[in-house]
Amino acid sequence: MKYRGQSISKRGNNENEDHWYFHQEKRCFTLADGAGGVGVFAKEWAVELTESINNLHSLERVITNIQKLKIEFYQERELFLEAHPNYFADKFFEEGSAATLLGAQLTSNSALKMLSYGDSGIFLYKVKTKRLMTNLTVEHFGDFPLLINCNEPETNAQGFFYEELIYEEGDMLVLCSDAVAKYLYLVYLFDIQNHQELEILLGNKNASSEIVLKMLHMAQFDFTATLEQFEESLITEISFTSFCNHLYEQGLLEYDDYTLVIVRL
Amino acid sequence: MSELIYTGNQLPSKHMSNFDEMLTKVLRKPQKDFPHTQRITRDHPTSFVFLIDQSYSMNQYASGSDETTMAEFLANVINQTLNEMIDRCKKGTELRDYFHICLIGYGGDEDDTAKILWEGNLSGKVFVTPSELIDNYLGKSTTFVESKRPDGSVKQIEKTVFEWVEPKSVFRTPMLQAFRLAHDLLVQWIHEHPESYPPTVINITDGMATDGSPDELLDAANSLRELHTEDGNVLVFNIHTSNSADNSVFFPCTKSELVEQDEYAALLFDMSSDLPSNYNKHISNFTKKDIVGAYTAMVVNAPISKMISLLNVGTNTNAIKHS
Repeated sequence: MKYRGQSISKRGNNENEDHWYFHQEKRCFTLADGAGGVGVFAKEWAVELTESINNLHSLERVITNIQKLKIEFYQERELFLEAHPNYFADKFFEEGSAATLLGAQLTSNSALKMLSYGDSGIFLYKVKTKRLMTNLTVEHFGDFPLLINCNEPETNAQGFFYEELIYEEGDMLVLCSDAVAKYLYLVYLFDIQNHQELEILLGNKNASSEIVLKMLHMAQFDFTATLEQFEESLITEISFTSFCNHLYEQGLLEYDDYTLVIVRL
Repeated sequence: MSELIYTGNQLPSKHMSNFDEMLTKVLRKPQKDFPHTQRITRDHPTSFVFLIDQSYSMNQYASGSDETTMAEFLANVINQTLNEMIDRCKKGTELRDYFHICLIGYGGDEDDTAKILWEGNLSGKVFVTPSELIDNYLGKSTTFVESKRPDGSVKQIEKTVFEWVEPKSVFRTPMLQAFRLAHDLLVQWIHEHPESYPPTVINITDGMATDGSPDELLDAANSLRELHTEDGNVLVFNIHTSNSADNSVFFPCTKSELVEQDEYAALLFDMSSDLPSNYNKHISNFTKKDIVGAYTAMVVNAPISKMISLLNVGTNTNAIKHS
């Protein structure tokens, strides 16, 4: 197994609210996209989630662990804010801290457990058959992604995508935050000419629809080649930044933090 | 933010030599294929203009109260809305100026004009940012709210509520002037922010205009709605409030949902914008009904007690990710 990953902040902004992590011993990749528009401490919550969740043995256990994390995180922030009062404290207590979450764990016998909550993207791409398994659907291109919020007493189990799949040597595992995920998913839809889903996305009349419209006027798309170009760009932060900026300037990536991990299985 | 031209009671269009040129440039700008999708950021802030009826009839007691007038209720609601807009701009450990806010009152004094309402240190300003608001309030009070902890227990939070608007209910209803003033100020604002998420104008009134015919009002609203950034047209909300909860209509999709022969409601409908789909979920949450189609940004006979929820819909930026 070989992997590359990079995470960069929005153009012109020093603050990156995404975070990813690889738990070597557990062979578990995690990624979280902190929602800066909800509450405060988005980055800290993304870090907490990715660095603590390292076992996808069962969905019930993951949810239990997330609930424990919420309580610890909230209590730590509560103590901090009580010691350092400012006019942001009420925003944390009222709105919490929120993020999406992805997890991918390689187990024995070529099994892969995939988990997601929200609109970050996780893909298992079978290079030989060009078949893509992903958590993403056209529903994820709407305006209200699901988020794990640290001040919610419950986490909606129904909001999780959780699958166990078998992988083969040469398959590619991809974890990415939403802007990159949506672009990759669109490239795949164009590659396999899934006009039905593309029409649905055009009908949403949102920022993603704008990207679909631009792509309609471009040359054909090759998903394998696109993944390989991204993989190449991940060698350094500078090359990844340059590649993402190029796509952004063409109007193909939304303005956001960009995080991408590609694993060759 | 550079200062816009506002010459007291006079419309900028009548006093600025380059106004027509500015207006032509604004109207000529092309728009995106999928408008109302621009992210709201510090580089691309958006603006809100509140048109606030301060006419004598707002002196009535609000429905269900014998202590609070509609004017007092409305002032309180505007202040609460401004506090919430400031909250939305809190990010990390800083306050980010995502919004430029203008308050225009009409009927609040006897010269029968529309005026910008900022007072104290903000007097003379046109659009004000959240950081300017929080440093220049007229008054403040403390309130307590409850929120849940993740362990299910309840936390009481002490919140400071700042105030900038005081209640007024003085004279007639020069709503036409308010629309025209909003138009002229937004021409200037859009000229400076051509790529931003389009401005939102929210008109709150309890009655009909006294300074213009229905046709003149419709023209003024159309002129306002014609203004656009590259990201789409200015959105105009008309919220009519009343002590009678009868025949309330919230965000209709078509005119057929209005009470027949209610010409005033029909006028408000024509004066209001068709809302883009980003508002659908918020309206559906407000009306507690499934999304049925494209909504119109108008409400008629709304009880004043619903005003804060209505303004939450009108100032909705939740669908737009902030940076």
